[in-house]
Amino acid sequence: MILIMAWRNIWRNRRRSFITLSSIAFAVIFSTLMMSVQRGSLDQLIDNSVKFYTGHLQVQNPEFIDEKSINNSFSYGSDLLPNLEGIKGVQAVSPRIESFALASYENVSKATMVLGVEPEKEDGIMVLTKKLVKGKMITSDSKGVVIAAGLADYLKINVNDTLVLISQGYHGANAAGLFVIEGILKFPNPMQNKQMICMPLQQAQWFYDLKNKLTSVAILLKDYKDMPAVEEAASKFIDPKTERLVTWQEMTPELIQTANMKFASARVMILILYAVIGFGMFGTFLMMTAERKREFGIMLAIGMKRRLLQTVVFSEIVMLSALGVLAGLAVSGVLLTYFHFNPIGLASSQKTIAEAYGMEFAIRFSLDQSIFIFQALAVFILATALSFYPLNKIRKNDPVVAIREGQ
Amino acid sequence: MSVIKAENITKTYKETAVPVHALNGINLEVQEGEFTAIVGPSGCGKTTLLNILGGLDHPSTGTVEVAGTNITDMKDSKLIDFRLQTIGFVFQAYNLIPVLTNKENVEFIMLLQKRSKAERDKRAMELLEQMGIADKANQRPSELSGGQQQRVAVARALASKPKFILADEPTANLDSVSTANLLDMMARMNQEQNATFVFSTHDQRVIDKAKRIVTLEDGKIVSDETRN
Ligand SMILES: Nc1ncnc2c1ncn2[C@@H]1O[C@H](COP(=O)(O)OP(=O)(O)O)[C@@H](O)[C@H]1O
Ligand SMILES: [Mg+2]
Repeated sequence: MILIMAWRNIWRNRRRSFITLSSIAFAVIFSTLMMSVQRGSLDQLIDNSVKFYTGHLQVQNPEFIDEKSINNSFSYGSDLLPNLEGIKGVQAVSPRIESFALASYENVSKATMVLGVEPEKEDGIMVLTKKLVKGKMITSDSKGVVIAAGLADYLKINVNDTLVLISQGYHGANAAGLFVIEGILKFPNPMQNKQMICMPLQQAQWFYDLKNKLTSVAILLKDYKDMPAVEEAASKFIDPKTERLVTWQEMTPELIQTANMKFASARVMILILYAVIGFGMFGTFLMMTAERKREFGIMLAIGMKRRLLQTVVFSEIVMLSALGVLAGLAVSGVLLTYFHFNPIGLASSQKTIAEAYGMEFAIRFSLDQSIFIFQALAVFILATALSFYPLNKIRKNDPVVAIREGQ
Repeated sequence: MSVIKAENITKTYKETAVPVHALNGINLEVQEGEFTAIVGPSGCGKTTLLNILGGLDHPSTGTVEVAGTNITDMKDSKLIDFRLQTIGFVFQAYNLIPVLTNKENVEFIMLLQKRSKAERDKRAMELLEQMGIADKANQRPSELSGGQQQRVAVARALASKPKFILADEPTANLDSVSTANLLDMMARMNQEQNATFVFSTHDQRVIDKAKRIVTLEDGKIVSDETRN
């Protein structure tokens, strides 16, 4: 009968309960949508960086993460790549030499990033072939290079022209060479588009005097949730004295930092929203407590324990919030599932920006369960905190006063 | 056996600008089976006295003994339980819990007493029948007239098998027909079941139905007569 009482009490003032319910539901819908977009765009940012450049994991010389010098490279056995490729959950493995060189053509010079890769393997991660806008793609035994479109513009160099690269090789050896431009690539990432020169791995090993050495092996997973398993499996194939597994988080700390900063404002908005909803709920509890003061007084007078009366009122509050949360989650669940599978395209102005950063052209919605759990918890904590007011009023209710005032 | 024994009760309200001496030395004893009216003009202290006798309020001085227990200084939570087991209450109006049906209202107090479902069910229907409102058992209080609501309130007060029932101006909001009706039913419960009633009123027609009339004036008992 206690729960029946609580349930019926919710519907005493249908309009007020409805307003409270829908404001809770609205808060839940709004903030799940917002958190979902947040989480979705974080996933997207990670994907854009991880899937199109670093991979989820890399094998590196332990020093390389701190000092990206070719002196911090490592020798690799012929079975390393097949072994890594054989791990369950691994989608692509690409051996690389990443370094720098001064590139000159006629009177113009520029510092550039040099990436030595096996083009077919790298097509599993950076997909250089798709970025080709002019000329042809290098193969693993080409003698030439492909360069980024922005760099080509800067150097005023074209396909079939010859580029001079000067750098320092392994342990101070001189490195200089002439390379024919075989093709031009357009990178969506502006940094890469201004600096990148790609050559076959063999050429890079020759140029930098890195015989049989690599600076990194990038590993792309089918699903990032398999990270721990793949890490464990991969660690069996590397020698901890000379090699180390580096995660994408370690490689791109600034990425997570940027994302967090971007989302701080969204968090503040959610907080403000909850403060507003909190005031609304508090108003409801305030009115409810005032209206029922005499009723509470009578129940205490005839012999209902304060604790029991508080239980009734607390149950009301919990039921009301639970209904609001459920309604909100139901609506946002439907909305989010829809948007997750039918992403909203960006407006064309935003598209240009997104493109500039090498992003996909759609807002992505995450369906991560923790978003929903967080909302439910937030509302319950809010309701429980606010229930202090009516419960305290019951604790202090003096039936003599309550009944006299109500007559 | 005396169910109420109040000695030298005074009550002074000090929260007001000028202290109000609502009760000035009340001595009152009520025996089991009485049908007693506390009468007097508005403001003479009837409500204050009933609140003290019912353990809802504490006297400023004096002692109150209810069914052999001194409740003068009893703590709030103990008093709540004491009231539940010992005293039935009927207030002027809107006594009932609006979200419960009339029958549930009567059952409610027995639920608080942790009586079994079967007993609650049986006794609630019995009492509603005796009060002539069995046909309204499954309606809500708001669907009843004021007089019918008060009959449910009396049924609820009786349901807990209290030592006595305190009713503070139970007919104040009723028309004369309903007033007579309610009083007749209370009188019948008094006769048939030996239920003890102490009720306050300033309505002469109600006073006429009482067996004992205690008259208050300015917080003092000025007359106490028993009729046959
Ligand atoms: N809480 C209170 N504070 C101050 N004065 C009060 C309070 N309750 C009652 N009184 C005063 O005490 C006196 C008796 O009141 P009450 O017992 O309600 O009389 P009755 O029920 O006979 O009308 C009145 O003068 C009333 O104004
Ligand atoms: Mg009064």
